[in-house]
Amino acid sequence: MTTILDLPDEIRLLIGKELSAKSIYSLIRVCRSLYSSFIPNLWSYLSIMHFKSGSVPAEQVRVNAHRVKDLTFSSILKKDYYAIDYPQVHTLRMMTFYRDDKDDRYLRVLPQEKVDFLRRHPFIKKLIYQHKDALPREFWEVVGTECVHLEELEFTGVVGQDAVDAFWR
Amino acid sequence: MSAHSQILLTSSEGTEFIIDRDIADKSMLLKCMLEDIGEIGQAVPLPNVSGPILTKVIEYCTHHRDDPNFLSANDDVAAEIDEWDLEYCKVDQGTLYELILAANYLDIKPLMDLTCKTVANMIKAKSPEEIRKTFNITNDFTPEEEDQVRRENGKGSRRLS
Repeated sequence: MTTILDLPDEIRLLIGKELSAKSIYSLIRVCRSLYSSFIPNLWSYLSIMHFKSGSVPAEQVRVNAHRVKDLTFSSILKKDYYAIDYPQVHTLRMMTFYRDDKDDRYLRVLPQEKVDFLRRHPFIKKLIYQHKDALPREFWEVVGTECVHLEELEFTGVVGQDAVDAFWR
Repeated sequence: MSAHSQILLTSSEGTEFIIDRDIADKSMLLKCMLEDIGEIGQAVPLPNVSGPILTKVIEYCTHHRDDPNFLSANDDVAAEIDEWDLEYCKVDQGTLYELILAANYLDIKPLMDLTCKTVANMIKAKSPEEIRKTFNITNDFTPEEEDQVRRENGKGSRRLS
């Protein structure tokens, strides 16, 4: 008799589209075959934010970083997440979310670290940046000169003339 | 050519099926094929589809033959499956997967969506062990691997909603 394991990956993924991350997490623990089919699904879209309950452990992100295609960083992440390489990422969002100023467990990432991060991921196709802080001129230089595959750029925030020049140069 | 022309199909065992052209057109594969080759009297062989499954597929296409929005019928993920479709999917698991494979091969998107959604509903809100029971799957992980999968993907505080 035909079983669920006879369905090819393309069909398994259509089934996966109907399921929540929680169900996918159950599926990958069923057997090896379902693990290989659904593990990409669990990590391809990753949003790392900071919740009272904590966020995705950096250690987990590190072992799955090669599966991430669409990545959202909140601005208040630990540096650990910026230190990781995401070789498949094509969409990067750097966003500001609600921040509790009294909560100092999470160090703010320095602008220079964002520049370095971008420099290590010049292959991104889409960058969405939303932040109150002005970015250094170097950030825009990297966007303008090193991110040669960039097709889409959305920026909300403050930008100095200096940075504008660096970008258009 | 008349709107009521008929098409001859042969299933994998060689059984012949005569269906109306508008029913055949629900399958993008047959539609494109018929547009390309025009109306020739020859039977279209479907070596990947058995007679019982083809009967079931024709039943679906016949029931939905006059649906104006056939192609977008099951697009809404949250939408409830309608009663007829629900009854239609009450088949044994083997038949259900063969229906999925046939819908995929014949390229009948609404049937594909319906059957995939049906399988998804059988998975929803179940633990790994319950999924194994439902689908008769053997756990081939070693205890160490199980631990590792949990460690690398587990809740921690990941928002597994």
